[in-house]
Amino acid sequence: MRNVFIAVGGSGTKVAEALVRLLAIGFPTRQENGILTSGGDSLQIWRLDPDRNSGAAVSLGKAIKDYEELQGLLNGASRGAGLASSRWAMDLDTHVRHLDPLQLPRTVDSDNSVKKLGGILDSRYGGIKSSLPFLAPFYEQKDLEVEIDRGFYQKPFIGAAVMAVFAESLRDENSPGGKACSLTGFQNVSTNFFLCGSLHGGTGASGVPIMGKYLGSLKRQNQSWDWRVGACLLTPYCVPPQPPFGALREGSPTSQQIDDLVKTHGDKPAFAGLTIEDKRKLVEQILLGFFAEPEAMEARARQGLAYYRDHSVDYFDELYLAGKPEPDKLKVWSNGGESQSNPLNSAEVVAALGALNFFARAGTNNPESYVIPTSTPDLNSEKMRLRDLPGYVVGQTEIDPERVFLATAVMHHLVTKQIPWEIAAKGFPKELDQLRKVYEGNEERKLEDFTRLSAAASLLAKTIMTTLDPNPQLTIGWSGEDSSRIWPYLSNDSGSVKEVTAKTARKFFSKEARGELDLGESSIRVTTFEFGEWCPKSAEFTRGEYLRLIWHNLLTRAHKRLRQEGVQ
Amino acid sequence: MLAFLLQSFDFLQLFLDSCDDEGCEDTALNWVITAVVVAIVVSLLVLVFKWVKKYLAINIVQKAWSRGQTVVLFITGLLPVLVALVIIWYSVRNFFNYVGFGGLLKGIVFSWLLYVVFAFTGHLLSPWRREIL
Repeated sequence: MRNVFIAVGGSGTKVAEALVRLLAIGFPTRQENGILTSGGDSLQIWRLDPDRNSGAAVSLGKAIKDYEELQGLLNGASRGAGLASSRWAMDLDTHVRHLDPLQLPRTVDSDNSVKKLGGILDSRYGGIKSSLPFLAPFYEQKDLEVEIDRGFYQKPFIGAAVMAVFAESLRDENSPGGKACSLTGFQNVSTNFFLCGSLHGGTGASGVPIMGKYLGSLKRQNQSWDWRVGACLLTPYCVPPQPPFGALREGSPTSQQIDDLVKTHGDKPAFAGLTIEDKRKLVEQILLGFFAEPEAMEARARQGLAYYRDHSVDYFDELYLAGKPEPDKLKVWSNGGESQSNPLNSAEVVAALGALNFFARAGTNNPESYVIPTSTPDLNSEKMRLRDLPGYVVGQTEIDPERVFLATAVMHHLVTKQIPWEIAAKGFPKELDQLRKVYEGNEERKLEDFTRLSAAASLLAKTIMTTLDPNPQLTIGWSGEDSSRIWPYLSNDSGSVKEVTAKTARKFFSKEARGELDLGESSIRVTTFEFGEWCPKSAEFTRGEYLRLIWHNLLTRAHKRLRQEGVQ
Repeated sequence: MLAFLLQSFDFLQLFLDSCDDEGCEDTALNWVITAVVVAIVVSLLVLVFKWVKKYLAINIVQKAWSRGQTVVLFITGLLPVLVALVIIWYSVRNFFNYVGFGGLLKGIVFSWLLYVVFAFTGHLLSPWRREIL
């Protein structure tokens, strides 16, 4: 199945990063020969954002690079250019299609060279006449003059107009956006399009409904194409701090005011790396009120939802809503660009799970309605646990995120620590019979597999920890209990290895494991002897296929832990 | 054939320091038989030890024996052969008197060789042959 994730704005891009991380960790979207996997599906990521170099885009790029490396380590000989592919996880097109809503067809080179709202709305391509006279009743001069290449400052009234022009331009395959999407390649191909953006932001709030409407209308016109369009809307789940100073109540700033403020605040982090001219521009922008206002987010989200109800909902097959009862508070104010590098939020992971549910075609049971799942009443959204994450369904199997994390972590331990890689394969005991047959007489393959599986396991460990670690530089919204519980499975420290090994040991005169490998409310009981027998039947398997089989078997063994009294 | 060789006087004489009295061939034969029995017993003990270790292994890594580990086990088995033969040699007057120190050393080397052959053969006849070849 082909999947397209359309990340709209900064929040959407962070969710794309979370999605790539979850796929790397092993979250499945389908069943193949009874094995839960995402391998065999493909994913393209489109990024709809005027801010090309945002911190979120940089983080997404890093996550994709890690994913590509992981897939490279796990695949066999065949590897398509630009396609991160193995049988471990979904094939990912590593080239993120950047859809810049400010890149519109030009009649002359000077068109839209400075990215201002007035310029964009007055784009005159394809015989369109000047629209400036019609803009005056709707926009103030300062709105038309503001530079919008770093986003729409959480002002949908700016974003919606720009996005509408952009969506129109997509109909032309030769426009910059049309070329990037290349939608003709999706005709007659079953595809899941999933959009994600915030309800309260500028880019997300305006981009998701307009792109959804565009794709939804194409789908309606061509029902045989088997397209599905879904979206996840993020309600305010984190709030930025106030800018270093407030906006003017009325009027325009004087040159003296700007100079004074540059002198006072020019050394603050928000102005880091800017030239004096850029600092003056930023001061002017803030004074004119072009920045995200935390107090207005909730109201904007409410308006956004009302808009969906009245105008957009029919274009989507499924709509998901993710948010937090109490938004997390960000510490650093930023005007976008690379400095806007927010840690991965647990709400973004929730939204990514929505995308996985959609890609798995699980549906919400009732095509006539959309479901808004609610969290448990005792959820502390500042300190979430994996058990608080919503599950989803693949085929008939319910996927519990906590168990997925546990299965991957245990797999990491078993593959790297419980196979006697250092001895000749012909000396493998009978429990590793299948692997012995594969490696006997082919020690080079064994050595290569060990080296690459170890490197892949390290990458998996890094991905898991950087997704859950409550270090504020990395993530926000996690309790930290899960990351500390999962660490021993991923660690090379001899104490941790010994502890886990003891639990996977077989009881004397019994086939049962001595202990349970647990995480939160989930646990797995497995001996290394059982693990040793898990191997693909054919000798021609990729490392990814091998890991996927191990992971699947572990996941099917994972169960809810019985709570002992007084012990959590 | 082997039994014939073991009983040949020339061969038995190798294990005697002095053969001035009548019946020294019998002492030599007893000493050779002792060396053979010790080699068989120790090699069996070594094989049983390995089987028990494998049987009681609580995980795959413990159950898997590298060639190096097996060689170390073989070498370790040389010690009980030595100790057993020294004790027997010292405690049996005829061995002490006729076999002598030179015969003791030759007996030990002979027993070691047999022990290694038996232990190795034991591995060859078991599924563990892959661990040493």
